[in-house]
Amino acid sequence: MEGEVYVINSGKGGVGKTTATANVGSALALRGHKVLLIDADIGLRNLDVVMGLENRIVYDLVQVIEEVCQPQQAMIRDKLTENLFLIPAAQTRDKTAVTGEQVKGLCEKLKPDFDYILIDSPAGIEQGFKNAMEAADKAIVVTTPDVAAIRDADRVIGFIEAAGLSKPELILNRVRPGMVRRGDMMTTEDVLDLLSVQLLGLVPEDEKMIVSANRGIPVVHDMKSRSGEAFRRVAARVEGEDVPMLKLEVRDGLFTWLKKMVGIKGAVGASA
Amino acid sequence: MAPALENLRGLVKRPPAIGNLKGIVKRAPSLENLRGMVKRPQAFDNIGEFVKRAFEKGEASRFEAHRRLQLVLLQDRSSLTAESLEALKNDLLVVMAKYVIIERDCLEIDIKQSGESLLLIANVRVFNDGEAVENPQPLLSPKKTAALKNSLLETAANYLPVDSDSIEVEEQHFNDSVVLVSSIRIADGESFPERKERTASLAAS
Repeated sequence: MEGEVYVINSGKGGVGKTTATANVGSALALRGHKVLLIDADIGLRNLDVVMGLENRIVYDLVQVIEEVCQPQQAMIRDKLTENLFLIPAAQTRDKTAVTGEQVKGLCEKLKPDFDYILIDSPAGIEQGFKNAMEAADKAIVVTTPDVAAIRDADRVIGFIEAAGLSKPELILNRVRPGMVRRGDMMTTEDVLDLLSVQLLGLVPEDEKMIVSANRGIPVVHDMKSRSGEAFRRVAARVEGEDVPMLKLEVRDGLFTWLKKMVGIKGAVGASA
Repeated sequence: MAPALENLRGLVKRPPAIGNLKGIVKRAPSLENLRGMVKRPQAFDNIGEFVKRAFEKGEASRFEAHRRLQLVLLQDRSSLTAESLEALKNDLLVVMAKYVIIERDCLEIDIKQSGESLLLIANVRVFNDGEAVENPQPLLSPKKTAALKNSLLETAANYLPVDSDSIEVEEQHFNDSVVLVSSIRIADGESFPERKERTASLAAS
């Protein structure tokens, strides 16, 4: 069976697109699938450092497209997960170095060899974004619950629908349950109401994500981390499994804990 | 060995002299400064703000974010560029010209927020001899007004998702002129007919 090509985009930069690509890819590979990650952010290569593979790069995406090398020669095998490969972006070129058709052609060629191909799209709605989108069958949009990210996500969803991809699914990243409980952060329902898309994952704000990026080890490898668990569930849903959303709970302070002990209602951790 | 010993002494002497240390200690805020800080009214302002928030139960900011985004996304999705706005303006002028004699270059169109919804407003000045009219008569019969409404709706629908029940056309009679005020409500996100096509046309433009 042919693999599925997903594009991961967000519109706004810095919302966790690359982190999501690395983690969903790793989680799918941990579940036994053969996965290829393609960094389409030409000129701003990042996926390799997030994966901790920056020292192993020989060839890049542009060289594959320009047939300087075979695709297999550019694929870097992940150091932690079997069956996970990365084609890194070129760092010395720009987005005009490849066309959407070329990226699509490459994905078509590699589809039979993989279960999943995930393309990490550049931010924005320019050529690089369009190239990545053209090659994909399905799209995942990553956003955070703030006004700027959601506005940009809505634009991107519009473009994805216009391009004829199936309805994009959403990963809501960096949710802070405490702020949601106080009413100072939009709830998941608020966001879904605005964007009218399906929710694929709910990822809490987690310091471990920064630590894992520092180390070049995707957070899904940390079995104790909440964000890692969230991404593992995303992978299960991508596979078609029906798993419940991660319950985002506020870690109780002393006061809340005391109230709970006394048995006052309404002190239970809010789910985001 | 004597020179070496001198070198060592030199090293020992390098740390800051006590005089310097005193200087450092003196740089720290004195007690007077600290008192000044406590007395600053800002501290009380903050407490006031805190008390106000605690008692007023002001609207949580997430509602504000949600409401503002609803409107912004509506505008974004309607995808009216400056060019398509100009084209819409021309089309509306052509339609109106079939019903009334309009003064050239006097159509204003605008998208305005009204409560939760957005309105497309078109104001046009109708040609008049400039003579003051004592008892202004309606320019258009009810039948003609209805027909104009239909044509305006059809035209606007080419550009925007419009709410077909929401059109209003009003004649405002002034001393020397008549202004035709039309407003159409722009449909909200859920009832957008062809988001796909509209975005495609945006991408093409």
